[in-house]
Amino acid sequence: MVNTVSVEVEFRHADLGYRHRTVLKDLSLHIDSDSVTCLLGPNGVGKTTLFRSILGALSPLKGEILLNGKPIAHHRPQDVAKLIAYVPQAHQAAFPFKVLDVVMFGRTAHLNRFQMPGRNDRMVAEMNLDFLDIRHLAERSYTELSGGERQMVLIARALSQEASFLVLDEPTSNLDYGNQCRVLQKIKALREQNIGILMATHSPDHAFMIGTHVIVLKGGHIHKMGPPEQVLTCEVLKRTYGVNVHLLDVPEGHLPSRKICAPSLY
Amino acid sequence: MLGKLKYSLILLAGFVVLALLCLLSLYIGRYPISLGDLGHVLSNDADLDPNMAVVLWNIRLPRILSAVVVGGALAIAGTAYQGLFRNPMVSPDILGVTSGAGLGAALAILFSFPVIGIQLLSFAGGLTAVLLAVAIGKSVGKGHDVVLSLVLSGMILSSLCGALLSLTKYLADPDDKLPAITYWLMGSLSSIRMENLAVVVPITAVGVIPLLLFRWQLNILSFGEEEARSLGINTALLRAVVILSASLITASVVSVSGIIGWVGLLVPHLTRMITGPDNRILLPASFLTGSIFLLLVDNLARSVSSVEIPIGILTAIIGAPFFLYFLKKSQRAW
Repeated sequence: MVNTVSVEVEFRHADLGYRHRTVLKDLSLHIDSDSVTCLLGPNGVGKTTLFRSILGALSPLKGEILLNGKPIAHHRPQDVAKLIAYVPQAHQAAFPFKVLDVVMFGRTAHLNRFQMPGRNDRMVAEMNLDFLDIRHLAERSYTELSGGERQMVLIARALSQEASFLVLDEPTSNLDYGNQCRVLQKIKALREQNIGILMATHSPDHAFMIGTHVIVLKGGHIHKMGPPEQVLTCEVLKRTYGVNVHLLDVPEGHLPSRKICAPSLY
Repeated sequence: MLGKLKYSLILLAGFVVLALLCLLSLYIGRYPISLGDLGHVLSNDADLDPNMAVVLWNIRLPRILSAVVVGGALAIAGTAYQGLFRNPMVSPDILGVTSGAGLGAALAILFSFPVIGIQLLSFAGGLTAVLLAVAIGKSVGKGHDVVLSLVLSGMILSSLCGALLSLTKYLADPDDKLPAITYWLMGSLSSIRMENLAVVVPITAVGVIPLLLFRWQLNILSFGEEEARSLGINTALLRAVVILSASLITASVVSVSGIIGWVGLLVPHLTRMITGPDNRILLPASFLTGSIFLLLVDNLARSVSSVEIPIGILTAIIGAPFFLYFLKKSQRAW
């Protein structure tokens, strides 16, 4: 799983949204596969809109979005899928596909139009199940899994795309505490394999834990952008979420200490 | 791979059952034919009752083939539609193809068209209804939830065709044309001739082949359009292929058989219980199960009483309780 193809996504003065509603205005932004970027912002600020635009499901209303220098719309879906993999929030499926099959769905971008996945695709899928420690789920039905298990399966599916950039939509929402931590550990491990990450999250702590960059969206614009330690100050958090937050330093063994948020209830 | 072997075995078993059932069905009917007679007919024996050859070649064989083609076609179209709409409650009627076909046939009967005219108009009616539904869905949906707007415009089209069908029946001569329309709508395999099959089979094949080719991609569509796109699928193309193919298949068989309900809803369910939801096996297997199912029902239709029961009525009578049973047994895991 060594990814060498680098991915650059560039927004140039892009207005994003829908026909009658612009959600994000005049967005200029550069994200690449060398970073772990956390996307923060209150509910409804446009995180999902941003994702849909990066994936090409939504065309920018104004300006442009370039994927490796070329407008997203000029790439075939198959080519985009080889560069960017998307992990949606764990959801219910209509039909009880086996987990191994769901993970093999991720191989589709590497198949010809009428081709069925073969031995090699199966091996890639199994390898990713191993990487995420969910090999034991391979023969289970996706529909029978818990939310946490389903989220892991969707990550395995995205990894099977062998793209060098991963877009995750609140991968820890609906997960219990242990599963949240396990998902974050795995995302950190992906970073070590040179996979770039863009992740929407509701918790500023996640940015401190795994982020090299953070983007704070507010009121249809980028409010702040940069390394988490510089961007996420008490004032910024107060202005973004409207609550008082204390920032504390936690020691991490021999590693440099890490910040955590403690919201004030007074 | 173990999976592949299992798939092949399931398909092989389906073929064997279908072949045996076809042979068995040759014996069923009011005119008694024995195994020896069958041998004589096949070897073109000269001192054979000539009626027997006529019954076998001109009546029973076309009918058996019709059941195989119509049942399989409706079932595979239903499976494809269910995959596309990500809903196991969907049947081939969803975009108005059957109601459009019904309206076309009724109009043709009203205007005293010959049999071929009825078939052509019903085929055209079915396809027109679907194309209209797609066009309306597109203009209303404008890229939002395409599938939902398709379902809604399909409902609109179906109900419009239903109203026009009622009008046609109202205008039809109650002595000969109205009963003819009513019988057509009940569905029957008894009037399908070899000449009809010679036309229907190639058209059905033209629809079935793309579905089989795209069956892996159809799997991925079950997670929704946007996810399928992010996994690298040209969803607009895939949707168009599935809708066109499934509608072509349905319209072509309905134009000769009339409306036979339930097969396209029930058989995909039944097959999914045997094979699981993977379209790599489900799609081809549903054709076989559809053939087997309709052949069984048709054998009942023509042997249970001295008067033949219209097959569309029988599929509903058998289908409804079966469907309830499956629903109860499988609960959420279709």
